Amino acid sequence: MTNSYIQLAKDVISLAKSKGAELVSVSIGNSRSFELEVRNKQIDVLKESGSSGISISVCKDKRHSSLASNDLKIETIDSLISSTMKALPYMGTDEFYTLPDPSLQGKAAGDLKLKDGEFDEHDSSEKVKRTLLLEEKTVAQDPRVKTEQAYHSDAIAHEVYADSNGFVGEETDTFYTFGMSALAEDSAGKGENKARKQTDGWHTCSRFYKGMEGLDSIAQKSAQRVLRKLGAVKPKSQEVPVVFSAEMARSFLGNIASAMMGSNIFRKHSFLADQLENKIAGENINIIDNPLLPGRLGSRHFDNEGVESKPLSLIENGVLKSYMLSTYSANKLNMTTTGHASGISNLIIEPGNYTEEELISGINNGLYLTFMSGQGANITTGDYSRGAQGIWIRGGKLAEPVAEFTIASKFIDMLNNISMIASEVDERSAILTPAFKVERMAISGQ
Amino acid sequence: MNNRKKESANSDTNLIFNGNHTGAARDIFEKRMGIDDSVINRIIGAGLNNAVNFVDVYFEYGIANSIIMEDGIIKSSSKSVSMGVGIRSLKGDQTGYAYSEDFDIDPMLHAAKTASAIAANGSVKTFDAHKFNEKQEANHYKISHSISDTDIAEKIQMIQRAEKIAREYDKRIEKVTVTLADATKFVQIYTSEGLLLRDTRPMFRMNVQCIAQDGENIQQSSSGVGGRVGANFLTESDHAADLAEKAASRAILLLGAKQAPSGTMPVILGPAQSGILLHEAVGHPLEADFNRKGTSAYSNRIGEVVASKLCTIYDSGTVDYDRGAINFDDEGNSSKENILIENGVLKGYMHDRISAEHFKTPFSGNGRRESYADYPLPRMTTTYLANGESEQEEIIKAVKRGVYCESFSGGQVDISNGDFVFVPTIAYMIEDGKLSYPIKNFTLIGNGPDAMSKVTMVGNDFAFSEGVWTCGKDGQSVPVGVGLPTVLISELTVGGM
Repeated sequence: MTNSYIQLAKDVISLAKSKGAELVSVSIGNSRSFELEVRNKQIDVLKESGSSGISISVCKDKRHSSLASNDLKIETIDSLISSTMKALPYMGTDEFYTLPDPSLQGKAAGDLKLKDGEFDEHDSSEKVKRTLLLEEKTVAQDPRVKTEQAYHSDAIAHEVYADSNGFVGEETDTFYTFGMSALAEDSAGKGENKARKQTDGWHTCSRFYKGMEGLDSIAQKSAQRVLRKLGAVKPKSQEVPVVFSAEMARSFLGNIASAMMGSNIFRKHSFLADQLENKIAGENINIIDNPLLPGRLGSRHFDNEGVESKPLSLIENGVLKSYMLSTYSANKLNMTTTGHASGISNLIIEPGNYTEEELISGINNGLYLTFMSGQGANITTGDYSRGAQGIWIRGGKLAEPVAEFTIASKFIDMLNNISMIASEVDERSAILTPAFKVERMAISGQ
Repeated sequence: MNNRKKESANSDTNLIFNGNHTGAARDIFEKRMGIDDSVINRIIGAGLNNAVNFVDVYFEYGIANSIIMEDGIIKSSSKSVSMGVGIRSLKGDQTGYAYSEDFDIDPMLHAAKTASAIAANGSVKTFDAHKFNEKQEANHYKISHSISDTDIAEKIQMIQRAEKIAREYDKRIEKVTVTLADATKFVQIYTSEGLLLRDTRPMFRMNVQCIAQDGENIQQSSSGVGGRVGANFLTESDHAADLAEKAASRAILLLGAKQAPSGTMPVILGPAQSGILLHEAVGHPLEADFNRKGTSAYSNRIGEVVASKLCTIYDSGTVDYDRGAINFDDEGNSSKENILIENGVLKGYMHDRISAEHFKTPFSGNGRRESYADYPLPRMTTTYLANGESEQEEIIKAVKRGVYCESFSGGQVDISNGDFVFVPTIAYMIEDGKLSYPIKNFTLIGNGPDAMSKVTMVGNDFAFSEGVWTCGKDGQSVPVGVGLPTVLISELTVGGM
């Protein structure tokens, strides 16, 4: 399949050039995936997918346009290129649109372990059996625990990138997710909300079947996490220290990553625009993006412009050292691409030396944050206001669950008030974070 | 990539819509792709076995165009083509699903067999071949010319006009981005019960986004308009100027906005856009999959009081030309106006086929999917709260200190406990019964059943939102509409600082 894709990519480049395009880039991908949901001891949904698609960018006289199709027949692509070339004269000239400098293109050396060689060795009946067993073990933890769903999904994806610089690269990735969402009745709901329930769960995520967390551990965590939410109350409005669980730290760091993306910098959509070499965070904050970690979820040999992957230091001892740039955003900012045309790779906030318990034990009155919702993280203005759920901290210990309140601050204030960082990192995402403690945030509740 | 010869005549990606919404779909699938009754009978036959009680086959062919203007230039355009067929086998509450992006018979038969694996132990059932009868539905987006066929020069003119008006609105307008997107989706559905439906679904959307800067203070705002409309929509009103002025004036307004307060207080929802509250607080928890599984805060509560007497709430796929309109849902059931809550009493849920059969209730026309790659789920169409009797002025007068919300960037709900958040973009403090100053940087949080029971006044100024909302659920996005008159909620948590 991939050989024929490389050929197709080359054919498409020739075709576009024959129609007058000067710069051409092509991505062709296909993926195969399997999804399974189980509930009440039976399969709820079983889905198999196979998808493919091509996307092409063409540029002539500094005018450019793009097209996409999941119909890979050369006749269809030919017709799309023709109509795109016809539209080109209507575009404005954009001197910033170029292909990458060929000297920056290439495939990083070494085996990044992106693909599970055993991908096809585990058949669907084995996955069904494991998922049914995960449900069984979770509900066996406590009579109050019921199932929203237990789930397994996996995918294998091939991608070919080629351009008129002559670069051709291909990559194959595999991913697995396996988890449980548990449900419990929460009779503490009052008045019109007497049928209140709580849901929570746990999942594992890996490039390798054997890299997934064990079933017993997922079952235990799922049950424990839903039960600890029962009886949630609305806290009083006040300012307190907030411990972000590793998962919530991931959400926060994801926003910071968006604020460091070149496309948001040149558009002035980011509170970090014009801040290079400025101190924007506490001295204990170090953030890097490292695409070269074998087996990690965000690892890659090159970005989707064929730019060779390299580790990049973003924040060093609180000082903003770099943005994450594609060729276009680099051109707009008069900088050099950092190989981030496909976004972050593995984004890492350097862990500290504390356990999560130590983060909590120093707090007399505060919040352990376990859930956030809503679109209230505004990276343009730097304002932060999110719906929240968590567990209240009293006298250094986790006390009652809390819900239906918001937490608010500003990104800059939070970055400068992360007073303790835990050592244990949540590895289930391309954003790798430990828990951390923010000294003060506004809680809005009763 | 095989059979290249056969399709050589089928590769024209330029659409000319002839105004016949069912005929256009028939031309694509029957004439161009060669899909006829005999092909469908083979596919459905492969998807059925003794244990499977229903199979449907959903064909889709979509064309989408977009143009973006940024930094004063028409920056790029894009065009995409997407096609596929999704095959679903149902066994009671259980779903087996697979799809093919190739309309050749072998990959389609393979997908059908894969879908039928949900009932792996069933033996092959004899399937009586059908002659499929096409069902005609009312057309809620009757158009003569498609925006997908409109000349690119005409679209660019409209974009440039909006950009110029926004940029010249005020010298503090720093950046303007304008996007114009249109799509046409041809759909054809067959079921093992012998039903055949065809549709052509247009979609249009135009957006203006402005960044305003005053020293260190940077604010952004956007405005949009759209729906299932035809080419006449582009000229029937000066959308470019309306959108530009709205986005630019809002961004300038935000430069002077103050930090919102924190705490519990009365909240007034302005007409139209605030319907997003219904969508989150009531709509999602009333989607019947959550109720069939017993995971919603509204499960098993039909007939109970779940909101204030002033609340009568509908979901309807029949609002003409609205973004949420559908002639039939993505499993072939007619769209309807469904009453969800009547004078505060819960009347019904929104159903897909599985939940309707589970609850033994008529189909509500809410089984929707993002594309051929997805199986249908109960989804909203256009969700709205009926008009009340109060004048807006009198509602604002009734609030001593509170918040008035005019527009929103979106919301989210936790189905199980009913807690929702939504994020206002333009809002004002109310002091002594009057709008005083604009406020920013806050989230509203509440509990669905609790907040709806605290609706104490409903206005007589009902309006539908401008056709810009997209709803996400289980990774599937579908276009939806909302509508609302001015509403007073006596107490909601305002999450500022």
